[in-house]
Amino acid sequence: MLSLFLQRLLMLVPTVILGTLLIFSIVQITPGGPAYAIAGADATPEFVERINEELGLNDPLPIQYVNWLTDLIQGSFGDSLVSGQPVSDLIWNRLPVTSVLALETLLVSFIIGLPLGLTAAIRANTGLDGAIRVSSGLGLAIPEFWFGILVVNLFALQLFWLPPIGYTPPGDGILSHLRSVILPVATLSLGPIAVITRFTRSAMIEALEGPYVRTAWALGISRREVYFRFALKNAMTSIVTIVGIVATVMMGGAVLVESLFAIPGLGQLMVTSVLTKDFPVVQGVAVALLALVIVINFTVDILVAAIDPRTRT
Amino acid sequence: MSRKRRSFRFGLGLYLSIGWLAFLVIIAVFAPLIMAHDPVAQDPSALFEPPSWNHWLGTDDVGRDVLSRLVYGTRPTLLGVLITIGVASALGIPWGLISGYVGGWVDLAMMRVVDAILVFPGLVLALALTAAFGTGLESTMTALGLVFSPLIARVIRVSVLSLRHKDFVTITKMYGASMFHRLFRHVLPNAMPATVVQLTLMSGLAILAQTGLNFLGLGVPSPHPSWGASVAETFRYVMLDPWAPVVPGLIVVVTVLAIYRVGDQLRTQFEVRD
Repeated sequence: MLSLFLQRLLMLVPTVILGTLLIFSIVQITPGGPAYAIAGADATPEFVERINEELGLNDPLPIQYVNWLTDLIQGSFGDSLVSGQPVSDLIWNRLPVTSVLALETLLVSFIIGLPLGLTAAIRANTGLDGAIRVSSGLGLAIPEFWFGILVVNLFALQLFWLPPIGYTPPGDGILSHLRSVILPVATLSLGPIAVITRFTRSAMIEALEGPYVRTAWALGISRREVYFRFALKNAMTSIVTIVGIVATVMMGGAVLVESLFAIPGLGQLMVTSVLTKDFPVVQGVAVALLALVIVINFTVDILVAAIDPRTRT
Repeated sequence: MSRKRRSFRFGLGLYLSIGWLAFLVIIAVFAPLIMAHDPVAQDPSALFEPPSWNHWLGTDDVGRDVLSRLVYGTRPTLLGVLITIGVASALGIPWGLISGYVGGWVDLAMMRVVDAILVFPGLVLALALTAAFGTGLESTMTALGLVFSPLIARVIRVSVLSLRHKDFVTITKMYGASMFHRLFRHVLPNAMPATVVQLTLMSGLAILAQTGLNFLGLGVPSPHPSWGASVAETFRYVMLDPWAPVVPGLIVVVTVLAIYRVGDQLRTQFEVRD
């Protein structure tokens, strides 16, 4: 089991390297070079040259990349071009917010999506299945932030049941935290619920058509036991895999939702730093999100290997 | 035990979808001819007017005609989608062709890059690229196209791999056709159906992403009209007109659904063939 863990860990290395290389090269492809982006279009050549010297931009690219990477590993993400604050501070402050939001959304999405998908599969091709399929299709087509606007409009601005924007961390009181987080989580989970429902449904249908299920029917095993012990267990592998994909997609949605609800998380930081061309922050947030996604996918991989011996090569 | 296969009837849904999309294209192209109002023109004397003969959907908080903004907003939407799938194809198709056809470690390396890109949440990567390229419709849509290109590369590669061993490839090799000829005249056309389906679905995603970016103010610069901007604007004065945000969002939803319907139909059509 340990060797499996290490093996999977090793397979991460190329991905991490390529991912960081990608983030690194994004800044390099700015027209005119990163120095111009920092200094502005009408900077004098001497000013640009000074920036080049200070930031080490005259070194050959591979050296720049290695320097950047070593800084990164030691936890130094550079300083914000706008505020001068260390980027790692900014990220550290906002990471818990985004993580809490992401976790709660994943939880809600699964709590709603799994049963929906299972019901749709068990009652496949009936009216209920059709209704579930249509609503999940809608969930995929509705822009999340528009949905967010509609619910904010209804529940906060018209009915005054919930606060429209802002975020209360759990430390300040669970109840007010939940109140502040209901609308964002509901908005963010729209897409994931649709995806999970669809995927669970097809995974379950496929499992139900398997030979062992047919044997179970033939042996007269009760319906409930067939569904849960036989079909669901086998569908679990695929379903757990989808967590990784859902989490990745969700991160993108988090950017919009955080901006809409004025939640001080990584997503909002990303947007503001893109607008101000604050490259160190952009890179830092990208690396942080990359790390988050990799960790989630890695956990999923290990879980799948633990559940299903067949996947262990 | 196989229940009746849900065959995709050429039903009302499909015709409505195609009709809607065609309608969008027409009004995008002919917008200046059919709209009487300039979508950017502000009219301080006519703020928040309810629907009237002069302004079919009324005016917004700075006196602009709402309908004009929506109609003109079709243009960046369609243009944006074209840019995205254009860039994605221009990069993704050669990528997949080379990777699938050459094979070996070239294939391995190229696919590792695909995996690295796909690890990132799409919107995050597109945002990061926007930081480099600058805001605006062309740059954000190009960034999106770059982010989507690995998906196209994968589809093409899979097609190429499955076609490499087909008879017509061996036959053309036998009578001495060049590799380029083989790739472009034989392999690529056969890879097209799956690619077209993927591009269709990608258009839906592109519209959703574009609307989001415009909503954040990162795409089409204000005061130019776009659907995402319309959503943002209606939200600004939502206390005064609670129903205003419904219209632009609904248009986006209908459009995306129409695209997906057409994509689904295409996918069923092409699966039936061999």
